[in-house]
Amino acid sequence: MKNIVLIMVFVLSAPLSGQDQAALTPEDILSNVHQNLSSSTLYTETEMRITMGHKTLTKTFISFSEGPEKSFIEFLGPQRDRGTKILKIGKVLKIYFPSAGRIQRYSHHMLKQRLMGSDFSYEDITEQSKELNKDYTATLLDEEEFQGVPCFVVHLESKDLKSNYYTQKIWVDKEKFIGRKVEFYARSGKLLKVLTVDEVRVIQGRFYPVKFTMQDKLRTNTKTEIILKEIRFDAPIPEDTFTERNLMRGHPIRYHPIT
Amino acid sequence: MIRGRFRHLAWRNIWRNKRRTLLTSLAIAFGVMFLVFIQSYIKGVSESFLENMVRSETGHIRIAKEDYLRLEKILPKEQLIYDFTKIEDSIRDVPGVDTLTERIKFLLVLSREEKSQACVAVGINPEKEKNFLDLEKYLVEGQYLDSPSSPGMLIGRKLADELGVSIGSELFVATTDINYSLYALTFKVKGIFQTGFDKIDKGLFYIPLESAQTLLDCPDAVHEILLLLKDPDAAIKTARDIEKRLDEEGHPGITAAPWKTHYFVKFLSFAKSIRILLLVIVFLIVALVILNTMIMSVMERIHEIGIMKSFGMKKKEIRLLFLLESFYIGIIGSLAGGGIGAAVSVITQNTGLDFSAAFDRIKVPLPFVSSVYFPDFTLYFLINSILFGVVITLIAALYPAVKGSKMSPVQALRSGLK
Repeated sequence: MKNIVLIMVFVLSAPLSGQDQAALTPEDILSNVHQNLSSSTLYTETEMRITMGHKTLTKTFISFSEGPEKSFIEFLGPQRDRGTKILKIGKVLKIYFPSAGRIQRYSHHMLKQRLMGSDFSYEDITEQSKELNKDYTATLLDEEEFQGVPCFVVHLESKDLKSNYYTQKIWVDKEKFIGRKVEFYARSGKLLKVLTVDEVRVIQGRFYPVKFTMQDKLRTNTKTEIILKEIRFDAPIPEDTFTERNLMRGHPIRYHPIT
Repeated sequence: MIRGRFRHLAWRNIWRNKRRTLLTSLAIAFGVMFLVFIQSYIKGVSESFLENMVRSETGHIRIAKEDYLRLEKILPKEQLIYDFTKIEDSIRDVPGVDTLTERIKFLLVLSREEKSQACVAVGINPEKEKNFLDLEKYLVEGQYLDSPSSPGMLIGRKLADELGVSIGSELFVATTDINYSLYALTFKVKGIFQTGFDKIDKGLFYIPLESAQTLLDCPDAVHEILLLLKDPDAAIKTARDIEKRLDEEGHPGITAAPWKTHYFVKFLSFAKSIRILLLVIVFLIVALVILNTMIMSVMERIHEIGIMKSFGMKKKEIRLLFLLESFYIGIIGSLAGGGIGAAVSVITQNTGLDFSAAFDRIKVPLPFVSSVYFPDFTLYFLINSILFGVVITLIAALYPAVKGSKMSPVQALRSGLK
């Protein structure tokens, strides 16, 4: 989840402290965005609405993540999904199936699959966004308005030929340093997915996208909306969260915010 | 009277040179044997294709959602027939319907420890399924499924080996259901089957219908209803009757597809012309072998014609004598060859011809192609092959006999002495 948020980001970021916008290089833009998104840990409570044609499925889950490598998701609803848990450490994905009472380990191929029929892949949802400047070469394409918001249009090209999304085009809010829209492309130049940010709020002193929509362009008539109901940055994560023991545990660990 | 003498003479003549007669009839026998067998084999192969297709995939009629059939290659999970029991009740008494069953089919990845294999899960009603693909017949280990609700699994020999499972092993089956929830059940391997039919042995496993419905979260729904008819050739008409009834009873979007419209049947009718061509070629080759052998053996004896002529035998008599001899040889060779051919066909019809060693090298499962074939012998093949053998032998003898009888005795004697 964190990643997505990160991706989105491009989004947000700390208010510009007096930097001269005109002098910003694409690297500066990325690094501002990254700084704004990064937190040592992240906890979210999410509602995911998957629309396929006339059918809409709503699923809710909580997620914890720590650093770029570890993340844990537990589904709360609907009934059929309740108790399904996903643990990702590095490239290894483990899923707990409550109906069978067991954990199945999956290789990295699974990361590219759609998460529960949504427009997001397992990777989209669980992978931490790393420092974009490290993984991508950025070029500033243009400056234009997106939905009335002045944006930088930044083009990213992955340094890794095998990257899922070889290039990305991001519209970064000039003022808030938030990605308002991201287009993900394959190496062939084919448009794979489009992410748009529908709502941004200030949380713990930062701008954060709390509602966004992904559309898998390889499918027709589908979209997946994510609504973040609860977000905590840098909150302590319960011990054992990223373990198999936690996958087998009966009740979800909900994060109780320290007031 | 004269004819009787000639018959006697001809019969004695052919045994004068036993070696020659034996070799000639051997060539004929071999040709005729081959004809009987190849016809039985080709019939067996093409019928096995159809039989496999009907029993494992299409039935004589398959009832399913239009979109399910259209997108069949990806097996769309959500294209379900709800209230299938109602539909079954209403079509059971459509004239011509013999028996029916229902199936759920979906794609998934089966994994065990570090091994995983993409395959198709088939949910079946074990009792009804016996009329279709009777897996019980093909079990090589373990037992058949008891009931639609007991959570066992039947798995093909090759898939079992691939995943390293045996009877009693537990297999974990995980999938996304029709609402895209992740769901999994564990199944005990109850039986291992071997149909000799690669697509099934490598790529499918069978579980009880109710377990499949639980996995997909679709109680009371199936993907396909399969029918067998009393007369398979009536499939198109019966399918129309069924669609009419479904329409009247208000089941929109559901199609009854007769087996003859399956792409594979269309392919087979194309294959039929190739099959006929193949048979024509085989018959021609056999004819050439017989012709060659016979002509050689008669030509060898042209000097005898000279002797006969100098004794005063007429052309007609000489021709008759040679044709009679060939006829005897033809009959001996053809009957022997036909008998052996029929015996080989009937024996392999029961044991089957196993080509799995050759098929194992083909990694892609071929549709409806079995690695074991059962020739299908009929009396017609025996009769046509024997007749063919005799007629060709006669034709073969005709040319040298006519030619020789026209020669002057001196010419004939000389050409024979060369």
